[in-house]
Amino acid sequence: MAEAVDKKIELRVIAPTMATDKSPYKFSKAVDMVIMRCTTGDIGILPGRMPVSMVLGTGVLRIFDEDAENHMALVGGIAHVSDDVVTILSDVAQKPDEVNVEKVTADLEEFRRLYDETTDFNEKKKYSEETHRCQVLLEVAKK
Amino acid sequence: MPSMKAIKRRRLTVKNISQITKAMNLVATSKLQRARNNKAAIGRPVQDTFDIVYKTVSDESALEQPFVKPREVKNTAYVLITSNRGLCGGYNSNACKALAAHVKENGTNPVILPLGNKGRDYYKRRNGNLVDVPSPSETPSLAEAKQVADKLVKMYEDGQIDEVYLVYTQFFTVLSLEPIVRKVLPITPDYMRRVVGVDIEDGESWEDLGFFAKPDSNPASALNREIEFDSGMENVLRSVIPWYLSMYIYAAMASSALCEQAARMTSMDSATKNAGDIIEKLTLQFNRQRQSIITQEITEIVSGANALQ
Repeated sequence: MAEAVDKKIELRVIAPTMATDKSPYKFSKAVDMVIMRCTTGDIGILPGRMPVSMVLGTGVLRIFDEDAENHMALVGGIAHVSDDVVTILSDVAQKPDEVNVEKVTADLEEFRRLYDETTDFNEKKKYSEETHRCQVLLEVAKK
Repeated sequence: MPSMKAIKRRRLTVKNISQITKAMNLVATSKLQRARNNKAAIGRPVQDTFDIVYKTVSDESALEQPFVKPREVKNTAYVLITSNRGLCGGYNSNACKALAAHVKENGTNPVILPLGNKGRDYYKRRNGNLVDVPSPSETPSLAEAKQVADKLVKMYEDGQIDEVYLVYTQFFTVLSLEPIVRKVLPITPDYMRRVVGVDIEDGESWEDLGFFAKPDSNPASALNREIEFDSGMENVLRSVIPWYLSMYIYAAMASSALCEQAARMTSMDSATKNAGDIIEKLTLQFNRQRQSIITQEITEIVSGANALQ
């Protein structure tokens, strides 16, 4: 049992904005547990998890390590778990300090306005997704 | 025979050019190191992505999925990676020629996505069927690769293309750079197995793409291959494909960027040496001519003096 508690999972996040001169990954660390938003709902990953592949939705990635909880906004992508390694490939992966609150707030207002103005179903869907993305980014920025 | 003034002027010009080539050589040497570090850094994420792709496509039901199931080939897309600038020896023309040779050999109907001004100009002059894609920056980024990948996915899904090949330059040593044409889509599970180095049998070899080091054989990982697809295999595969293409193109861009600097370094080095040789020859020519003028003047003075006696 003690062995199971001590075990960690390696979290690796790959995103288009990563700067490979610092690290090959956007984020890489051995952690206790992660919870992520998938298209089927929230999924928590603990050490020893059976291999699984998931399609990610737009949501907050919660990273638990020791007694601390860190957050990252994820927008789409996939996650794969195998051999205690969680690999996340996401179009957007932003830590709280990386979110430009002013810009995202302005974008949120703009997308809300566009959503209200349009009558086209596809346009409404697109602006609804963009609004949700902005909300998630702002949620992470507050953490 | 050129005048002494002309020789002097030419020598000065060659000297100036050699200073430029020397500076370019130094700049390329410094950029080469940065490009080498960049290529090394992205090796692991590329390997991780390919590993996920292999695990996804090795599922039996994936064989009938788009992007995996081969279809009748009408149009073939080639992503051609070259540089934006010249003065790098045969680096650009070799990649363009490799593409041309592949088209000739396979008789495909090519649709070219040129990543780099030189490749685009080469096929523009030859009236190639080009698709407009933004020119990448000198330091490749995943975001740039993703733009091209998204375009390819859309074209493939719309039936505008039936196969995708990537044309890039693989780095072996600074003096050994090889243009490569590799099939990217549709994905062949068996080929991906050899790329990620799983269950390599006797008579088979690991497929070295030049992006990452040979993976360690990990029997535990190889056995533990039954994967649960939380959102369904089709959805996972559909989400994996853009990433597979992005990382493949990104790694190829990084490899090509490294080769570009290596090619520029060697070509500028030989240009500097050649300029040195030319300067030496011109100096010799200049000295000979000066000497002959002096000799002629002495002869004239001596003959004049003799005539006066």
